[in-house]
Amino acid sequence: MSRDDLRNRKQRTNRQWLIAPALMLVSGCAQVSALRPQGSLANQRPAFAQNIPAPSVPAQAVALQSASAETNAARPMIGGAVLASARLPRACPPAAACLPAQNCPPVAACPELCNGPAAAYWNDQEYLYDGGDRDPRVELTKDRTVNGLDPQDTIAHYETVDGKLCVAATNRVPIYAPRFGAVRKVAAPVLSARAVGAERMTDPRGPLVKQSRDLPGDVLQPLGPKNQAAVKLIDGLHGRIRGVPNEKIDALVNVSNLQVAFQQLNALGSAVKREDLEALLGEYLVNARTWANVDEIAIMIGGVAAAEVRDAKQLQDVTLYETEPGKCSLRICKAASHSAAQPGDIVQFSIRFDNVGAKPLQNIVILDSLTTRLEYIDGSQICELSLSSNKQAEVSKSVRFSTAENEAGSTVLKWDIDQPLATGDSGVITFRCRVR
Amino acid sequence: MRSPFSNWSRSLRAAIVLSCFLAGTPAASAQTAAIARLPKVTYLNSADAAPGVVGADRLTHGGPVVGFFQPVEVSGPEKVEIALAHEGRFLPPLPAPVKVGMLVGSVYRLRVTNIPLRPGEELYPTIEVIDRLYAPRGREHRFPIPVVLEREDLLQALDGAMVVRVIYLEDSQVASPSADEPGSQRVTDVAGTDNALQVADQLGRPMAILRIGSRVPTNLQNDLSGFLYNCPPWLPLPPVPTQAGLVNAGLMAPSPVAQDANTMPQDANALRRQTLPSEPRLPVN
Repeated sequence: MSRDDLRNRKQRTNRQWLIAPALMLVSGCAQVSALRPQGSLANQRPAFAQNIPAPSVPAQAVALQSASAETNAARPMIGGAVLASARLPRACPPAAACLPAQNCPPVAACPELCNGPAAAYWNDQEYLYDGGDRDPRVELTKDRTVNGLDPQDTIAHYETVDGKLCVAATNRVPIYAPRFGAVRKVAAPVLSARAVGAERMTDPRGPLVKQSRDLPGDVLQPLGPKNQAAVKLIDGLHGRIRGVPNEKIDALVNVSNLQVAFQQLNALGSAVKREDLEALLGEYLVNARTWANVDEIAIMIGGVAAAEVRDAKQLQDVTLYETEPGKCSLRICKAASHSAAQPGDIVQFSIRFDNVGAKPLQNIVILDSLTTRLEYIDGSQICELSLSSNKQAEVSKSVRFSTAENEAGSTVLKWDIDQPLATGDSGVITFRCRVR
Repeated sequence: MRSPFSNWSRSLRAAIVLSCFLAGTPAASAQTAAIARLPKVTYLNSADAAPGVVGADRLTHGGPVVGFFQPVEVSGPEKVEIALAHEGRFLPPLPAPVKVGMLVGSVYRLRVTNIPLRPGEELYPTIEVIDRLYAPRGREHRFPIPVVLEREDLLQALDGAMVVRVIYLEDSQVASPSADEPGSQRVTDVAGTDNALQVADQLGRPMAILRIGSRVPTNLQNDLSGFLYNCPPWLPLPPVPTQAGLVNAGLMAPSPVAQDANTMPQDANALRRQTLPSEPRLPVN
């Protein structure tokens, strides 16, 4: 092989060595670019938005879907868009399968009759909660420092005669109080086109007027009708105009109980009041007053609406007393005057505590950390003790009330009860809050 | 001409090739990791989409929103009048606020007249309801979605701007501690390049989209089915009864216990007794 041939061969080899790594680099970059998403996710316009095909609602979507497969952690999909903070509604469980107080749905959302196939749904985001003890649980140190008191928590910590420190939480009280906000975006055209109302109304050159406003690219409206052309819901719902619950539920519920009472009386064939119907009449009257009174107090104990039993002959009640020594025996519960409230309404809360044990309790402290949307009304709190011993005169001096700010922008209410609570003694605290 | 690589040894060339081959691998892995850190949500829908797109998507996923008439209350500045559409025509205007039940997923066109400081001018905004509330039974009409037509928004629309408001339900767990003024609505302004629907979803649950533009029909006597988005049905809602109104109308007897919630009860003991039942006490020896 000549020297020129050898030189040419070396040059070819060197070129190959240059091309090979270059090809390697290019292939690696292509691999990387393939992994990078095409364009920005936030600014992508879906393909269906260009032509807006007529959406077809599946037949099975018309019927109410069972929420058994839905969980609170799942999020609804809207055309592939997962709304981050939205939660799926939960179906009301049967009354017999109701979980403990903290997990029960509000009674107002899921009344006792919530067992049929068209069960109601409820959503946590629409409720205010106050009371109970959320995780992490409240813990008490030896120097009686409270840790873990979160907004919405209402607890009482006290000491038994044996020196045992106990913490008791109230039930959780829900109040339906949705609040709304708005996100606004204004897109103005580059050339400001002032609309003269008189000209627009009398000028027959309508299309020209609209054409001058075609400049901004953000304004897209003409394809809306296509979107609605194939929606069959309108035809299918003509017959439902009469049966809309929004139109009739209020009146129906208000009238039903009264009609039943009158029907019962009419069935007797006479207007003579019988003694065995007195209890029934009493119940109907209470129902009528309850349903006619928009501000009736709702009482919930253990997540279930309290039922009133009336018997003209004999009062029967069962009270459970825990008599084991050294056991935490303070029972505390909470109630609200409203089950639903608008922003600005005033709600009255009541906290009742009882010593259901055999030993007195001392150094009782009740703490109520209000949630963000509840604003305590200064001077509205009242604490009264019902003592078996004749110490009523000293009660006013033995209860100290104080307030402090919490991390949620609301208030922590604190009642220090120095008066020991003997067996059977009780107390009631009432205070008012404004719904923000 | 001699190549600059001609004097390099074969092992050095192999090392260069191998390093080039491996150069893309860390970059690719870093990119993959970066992609893995991206949020798991994809906002394909935007408030800038045509009216009806977002609502139609919501309906396709079914649930208790299909066929539900969600109460909506449209309010505006003083003396503003709002006209609803029915069977292809606008009805006589009503003074604001107007409360009706609107189908979830449908688009409703309104006519707004008697705008302050702009006599004779009118606007035709649209309301698209994209979700519903789950109010207690029998009280749905007491908790409508508030759609507020602010005076500034109306004036900007008359000046040629396109105003989009996404009304969202605030999450009570992360609510703001400030109170709202009665009749007003807290507003978050976003830039023109932002997705208002995405921002509303981060603040709560989007419920409705209000779009106010300056587009007007050329002739109200023509067929307006397209302009009215096929004129979906709506339901009038009864007024919310108040205790004072019922007592004044003679439909309810004044009750000494059921006092106004804003007034302090005269007898706190009586109220407390009726709030919680008393418990019998054990005999004390």
